[in-house]
Amino acid sequence: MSRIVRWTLPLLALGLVVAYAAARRPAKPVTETRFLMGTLVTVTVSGMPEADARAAASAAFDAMEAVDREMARRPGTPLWELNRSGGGPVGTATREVLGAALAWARRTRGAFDPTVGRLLDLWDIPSGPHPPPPPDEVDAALAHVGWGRVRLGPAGADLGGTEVDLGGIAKGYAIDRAAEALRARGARGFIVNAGGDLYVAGSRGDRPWRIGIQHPRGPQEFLRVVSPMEGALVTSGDYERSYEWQGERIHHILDPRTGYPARGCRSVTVWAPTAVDADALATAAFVLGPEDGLALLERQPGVEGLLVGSDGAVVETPGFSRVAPGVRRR
Amino acid sequence: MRWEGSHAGGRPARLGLLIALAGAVQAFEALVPSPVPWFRLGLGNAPVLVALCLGGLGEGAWVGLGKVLVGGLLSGRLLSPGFFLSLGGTAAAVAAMGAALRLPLGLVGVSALGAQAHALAQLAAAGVLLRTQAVWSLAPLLGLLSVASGVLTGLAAHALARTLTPTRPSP
Amino acid sequence: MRPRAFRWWDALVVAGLVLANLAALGAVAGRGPAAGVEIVSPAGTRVVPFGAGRVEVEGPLGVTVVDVGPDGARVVSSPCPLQICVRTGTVRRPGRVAACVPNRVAVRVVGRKAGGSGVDAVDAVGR
Repeated sequence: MSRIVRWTLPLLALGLVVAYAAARRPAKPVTETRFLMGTLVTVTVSGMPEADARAAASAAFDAMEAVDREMARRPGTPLWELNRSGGGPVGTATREVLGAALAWARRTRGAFDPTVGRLLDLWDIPSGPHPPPPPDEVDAALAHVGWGRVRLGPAGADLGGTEVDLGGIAKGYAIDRAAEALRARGARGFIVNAGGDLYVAGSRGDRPWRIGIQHPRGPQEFLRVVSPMEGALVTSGDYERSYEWQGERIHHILDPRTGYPARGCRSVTVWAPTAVDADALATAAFVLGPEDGLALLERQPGVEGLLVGSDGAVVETPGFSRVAPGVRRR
Repeated sequence: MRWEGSHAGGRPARLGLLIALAGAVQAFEALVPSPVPWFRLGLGNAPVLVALCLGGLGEGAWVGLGKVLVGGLLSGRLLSPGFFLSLGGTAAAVAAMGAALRLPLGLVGVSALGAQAHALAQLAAAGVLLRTQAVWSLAPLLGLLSVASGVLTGLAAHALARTLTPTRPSP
Repeated sequence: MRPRAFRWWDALVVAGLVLANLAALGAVAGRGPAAGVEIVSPAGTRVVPFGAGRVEVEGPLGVTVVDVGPDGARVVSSPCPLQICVRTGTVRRPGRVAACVPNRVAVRVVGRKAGGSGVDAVDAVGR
């Protein structure tokens, strides 16, 4: 009997171990998707029972929707009314975002500028391919751009004749609020993905999150695959909202200083502790071009970046590889 | 391997003993948490196996039925969906073990086969009850755990059989 | 006469059962529970199996046509101004989405292969 016991018992142990290991496999992450803020937003939560994960995701979406309802530039929102009146009282969240936007405008010397509303309306990219506006119209719209004309005080904001669009920074703010909501509900591993602008936290449970950075010219390719630790990863690209017109690429990242789509870069990816900062910096660096953009990013503490110039050349901040312990070139 | 002589006072007493044992174990096992749904240690099949091999298929079937009923009564799960799963599983186990006893196998092998049959029958019943075939994705895991428990049950049955069949003829 | 606990064949039987289950484990792990293409639209979310071919999805602007192939899907046509969804091309890898935001349609590959551990698999795309 003992001889056969030596046979069967190890096999038994093997079977039990394998079975328990397989049974302990972490559950697949839970994903919720909604169209929001003019883009596709996906919230992925791991390491929680499904019901809790979906509840947390729902709270995250609610947080983003609240930001959108206040700061989107469309008829009926408080921001729309603010623009209509040229000024007035501002809600707490709007004050925070507008304040941050103006601060970034100052730090980037106007490369990021929230007062580009008139220009955006003029170019009207979302409506589809159409001839670009003539130079005199661009100059006319440019006359209404200038972050320095906005005054934000305790009583409210005075827009100084400009039209404020918070699109370049409000999405980041919303993403941060969503991350906050997720954390408040106990989620430790999650990704908030608002149309390619991300906040990443924790891990997938069995492995770190893997994020592919879109190659600006290859729809199926990744520039890099990174596994960032906690933080925001925001990309500005000339391929997101764009069309070709007579050989030229018309895209939505306008240079506030010239009034035309910025031509220096094809894409810029910024990693920063908060999405609101990453959003503003990605836009600013894109407008500044690879050299000045890289310099801007290098100056920011705790921020790393990857820039693709209009010639396709890739430059990055020295610490970018630290964003991703397992950065691989693809 | 028929058990003719009386050790503990005749067939009804034997049956009663085995059924009580099986039912009690069945009820207790329901309290133990399990990584896979429906998986129980299955030690309740040890008395069933003993009855099969010492008393034949009929006696084995009675003990099996008794196990499910008594276990269900004791754990308050009589006529619940889990009860039907258990019934189907035990029936399959009795059939499989009854057949396997005709082969040159020891109790461990017989019991392992019975446990595997039990698991497969439960999955089939669950598939019907839940109206989905997705349950079969649990099959390999459940199978491995069942085989392991089958070995344990076989050892337990062997020990149980030893206590019920003395080597000395009774006075 | 007492029954025996072990005979030669028992080890074989047990080993055979264990191996059979391990093999089944491998087979189950390979395939996915709901492998296919997930299509999100105002009408709801559904998973279309690979190879389903042409799928029409209704949205506020009109009909978006999706072609579901053997291992991926792409947006063939959509009533949106910028046609970014069409320009995205075929989505094959886990983590990739083709979305028509104006028409509220999103197309993505899901299933055991999706979000798995393949070298190509990413959990999200920064763009």
